[in-house]
Amino acid sequence: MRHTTDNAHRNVPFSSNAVRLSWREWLVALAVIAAVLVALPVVWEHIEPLRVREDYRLPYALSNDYWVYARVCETLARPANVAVVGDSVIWGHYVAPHETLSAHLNALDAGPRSFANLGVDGIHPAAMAGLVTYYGRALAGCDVLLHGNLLWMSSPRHDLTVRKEFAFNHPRLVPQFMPRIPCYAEPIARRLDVATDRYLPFAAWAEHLRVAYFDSVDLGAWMLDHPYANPAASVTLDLPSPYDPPAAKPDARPWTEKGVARFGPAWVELDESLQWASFRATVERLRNRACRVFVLVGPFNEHMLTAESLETYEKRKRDVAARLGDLGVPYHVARPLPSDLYADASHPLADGYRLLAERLLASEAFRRFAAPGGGPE
Amino acid sequence: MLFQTRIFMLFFVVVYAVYLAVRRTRFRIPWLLAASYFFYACWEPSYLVLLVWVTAIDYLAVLLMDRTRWRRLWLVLSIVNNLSLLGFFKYGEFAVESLNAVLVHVGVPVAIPPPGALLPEGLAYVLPVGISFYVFQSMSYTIDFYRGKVERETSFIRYAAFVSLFPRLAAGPIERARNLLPQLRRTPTLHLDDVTDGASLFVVGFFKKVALADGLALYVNKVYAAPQQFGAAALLLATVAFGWQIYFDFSGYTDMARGIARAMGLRLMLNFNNPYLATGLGDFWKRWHISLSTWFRDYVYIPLGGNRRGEARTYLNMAATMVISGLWHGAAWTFVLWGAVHAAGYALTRRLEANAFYRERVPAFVKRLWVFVFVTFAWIFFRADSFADAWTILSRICTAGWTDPAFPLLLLAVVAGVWLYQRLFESRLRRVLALTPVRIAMVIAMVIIVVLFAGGGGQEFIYFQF
Repeated sequence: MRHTTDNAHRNVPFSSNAVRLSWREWLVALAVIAAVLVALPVVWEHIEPLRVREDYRLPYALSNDYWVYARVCETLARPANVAVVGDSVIWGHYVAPHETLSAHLNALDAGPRSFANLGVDGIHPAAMAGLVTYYGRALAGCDVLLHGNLLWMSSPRHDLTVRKEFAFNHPRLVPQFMPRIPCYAEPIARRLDVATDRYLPFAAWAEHLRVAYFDSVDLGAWMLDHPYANPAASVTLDLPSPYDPPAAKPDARPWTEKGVARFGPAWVELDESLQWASFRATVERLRNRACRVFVLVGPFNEHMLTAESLETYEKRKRDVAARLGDLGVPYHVARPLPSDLYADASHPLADGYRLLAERLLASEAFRRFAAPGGGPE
Repeated sequence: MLFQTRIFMLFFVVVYAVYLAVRRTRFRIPWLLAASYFFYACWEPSYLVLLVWVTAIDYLAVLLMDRTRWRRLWLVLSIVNNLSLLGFFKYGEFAVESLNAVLVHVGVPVAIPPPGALLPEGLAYVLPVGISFYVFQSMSYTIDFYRGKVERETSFIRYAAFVSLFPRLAAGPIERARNLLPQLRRTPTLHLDDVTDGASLFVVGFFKKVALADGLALYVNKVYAAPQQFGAAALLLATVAFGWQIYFDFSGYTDMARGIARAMGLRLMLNFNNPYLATGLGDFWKRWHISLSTWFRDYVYIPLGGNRRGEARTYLNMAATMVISGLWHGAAWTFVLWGAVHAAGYALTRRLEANAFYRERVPAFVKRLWVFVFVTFAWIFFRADSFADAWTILSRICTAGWTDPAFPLLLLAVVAGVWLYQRLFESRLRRVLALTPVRIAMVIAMVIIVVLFAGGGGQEFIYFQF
C-alpha cells in the first residue's frame, strides 16, 4: 500500500483579504499607532476644557472617570493648596459644591491657602489607595487633608471581607490580585486587563470617553440605545457640571426626619480590616511622595448608634488615633455634630460642614498643618 | 483562554519565546504539546483526560492497523470510540430528552436518567470545549491512514501535538494529517515573513471578533431573546446581522488561530473565503467553514457514493451529509432543520446550474443575492432557541408591521463596507486594496478601533458551543 507524504501546506492561501504587511510596513503602522495612542490623550487635554473654579469638585457623572480625576489633581494639587481627599463625605453627597467642607474651609480661613475638593463620591479606602497610586500621581510634594471615614469598617461587607460576591463601588481601583478581596470574584483575565490598564494612559483616556460621552457603556451598547446617532457628534468636549447633583437626587434632610433607625454595626477590628490597611497604605503612599498628610477622622453620626455599638465605636476612634500617633501623622478626631446636622450615618448637611470646618480650623494641630510653610508633623 | 484577552497574550508571549529558543531542538514538539495541554486545561482540567484518551486510542489504532491484518477492526474501534464520546457528551442529553418526550407521549411511565448520572461524582456533565473539532481531526487521521493517504506518525508526542495544537484546538480549523504532520516533522525555518503574516492575520481576526461580531451580537441577542416583541424590520435585520455576526466571529477566530500558528511557522488551512460572495449553495460551502465541509465531503458524502450513483442518489447523499452536518453544530432539532434547509438549497442550486440560461445569462449579482437571502433565511433555524421561536420569527417577518428596527446605522455601514471590500477583493480592483497606503491604513484603523472603542473583548466565540 502506498503512503503519501503530502506537502499540501505549501499551497495554503494566505487569506481572503489583502491585509498583509511586510516588516517595513508593520514598522510604519506600529509607529503611527504608537504615536496616535501616546499623543491622543495629551492632545485631548488641550482641546477638552476643564473649567476648574475655587469650589470645583469632580462632577458626579464622572465619579468613575479616573483620567479626569488625574487632570483635576494636576490642576489643583499645588503647594498653594491643601488637597482635601476622601469619599462622598468630602465630595459632599448631600450638598452643593459651595457647601462642602473644602468650600467652608475656604470661606472661613483667612489664610492665603486654598482648600481643593479632591473627594470622589462612592469611593472607599481600598479604592482610594488605588486612585491615589495610579491616578493621583500629581499628589506629590503637597499638603493633603485625608479624610478617614470609619463607616468603612462598620461591617465585614463595608470592609470587603465577606466571602459572598457583591458589586461594590470602584472595582477597577482595588487590588486585583494581592491582597485578595474575598467578595471580588472577577475572572483572572478581566483582572489582568484592569491591572494593565492602570499603566496605559490611552486606556484611561478611552475609558474617559466612554464615561463622559457614551453614558458609561461600550460604544456597541451605546449605539444600540442611539441607533441613528453619530457617535462622533456625541463627543461634544463639554464635560458635565460639578453642580449637577447625583442622579438619584439625595434627600438632604436630617436623618431623624427620614425615619432612619438606629443601628448597631458589627465593627471590624482594625488589625483585621482591609479598609484600614488600605487607608494606611494611602497615608504611606502620600508621605513617600513627600506629601504632608493630615488625617481628619469622622465625624460619624454617633447619634444613630446603639449604646453598645457606641462603646465599640469610641474604642475604635481611640485605636485609630493611637495608630496615627504611632505613625507620626497629625490628626483631628472630629467631635460628633448635632444630630440634626446629619443626613445619614456619616454625611453632614450644609450647616454640618460649616460647623465641622469651624472646629477643624480651631484645632491647633490643623492650624499648624495648614499654615503656609507648615510646621513639623 | 480567549485569543482576544491579555491573559492569552501573556501566555503566548511566554510560549512563543520558549518556542523560538527550542524550535531547532528536540524539545520543540514536547513544548508545543505542553503549551497546548495547559491551554486546554485552563478551561476545564478534568476534560484533558478526554483529549488524551482520543489521542491515545487513535494513535494505537493506526499502530495496530500498520502492524496487524485487522485494519478494518482498528478503524472501526477508532470511529466507534470517537463517535461514542462525541455522542455522549454532545448528544446524550438531547437524545435522552427526546426519548423521554416520546415515552411520555406514548404513556410509558419510565424516564431515562440524564447522561450526567453516569459520570463520576465531581465531574460536571458539560460539553468539553473543542471536542467536535479534535475528535474529527483525530478521526480523519485514522481514516486517511486506512485509505493509504497518509503515513503513520511514529511519535506519540508529535501525534498528540497534532491533535491538540493550541491555536486550533478550541474551534478549528479541522486540520488534515497530511497538511499538519509534515510541518510538525520538519524543523521549521522561521522567516520574518511568518511573523509579519501571522500578525496581519491576527489583527484582522481580532478586529472581526471584537469590533464587529461582538457589536452585532448586542442587537441580535436583544431581538432573538424576545422575537414576539419586535416587528418585521427588526427581525429581518437581526437575522441578517446574525449571518454577519457568526461569520465575523468564526472567521475572526480562525484568522487569529492561523496568525498564531503562522508566527510559529505553521500553516493552517484557510477556513473562510468570503462566503457571502457565493453564487450558489455549493459555492457557499466551498467558502464557509471549509475544513468542516471538506471533512464531510471526504468522510461522509463520498463514502456514501457522492455523485457517482445517479441524480437521485446524489441528492440523497447530499441531504444526508447536510443533515449530519447540521447535527454536528448542535444537539437540537433546529440544527437538523438548518442542515435540511441547506440540503434543499443545494439541490435547488444544482438544478438551476444545470440550466444553461441560469448558468450563463443570469447575472452573478442576482445569484449572489438569492444565495445570501437563502442562507440568511436558514440562519433563523440556526440561531433561534426553539422551533417555536423560529416559527415566530419567520411568521412575524412576513406579517408583523414594519416598525422602526432601531438598528445602529454605523454598524450597518461597517458591514456594508466589509462586503464591498470583499467584493473588490474578488474583482479586478483587488490591486487597489493591495496598495501599500491602503493596507497600512487598514491595519492602523483596525488596531486603533479595537484598542480604543471595543468593549471588554471577553465574549466567547459562538463555535465554542459546538
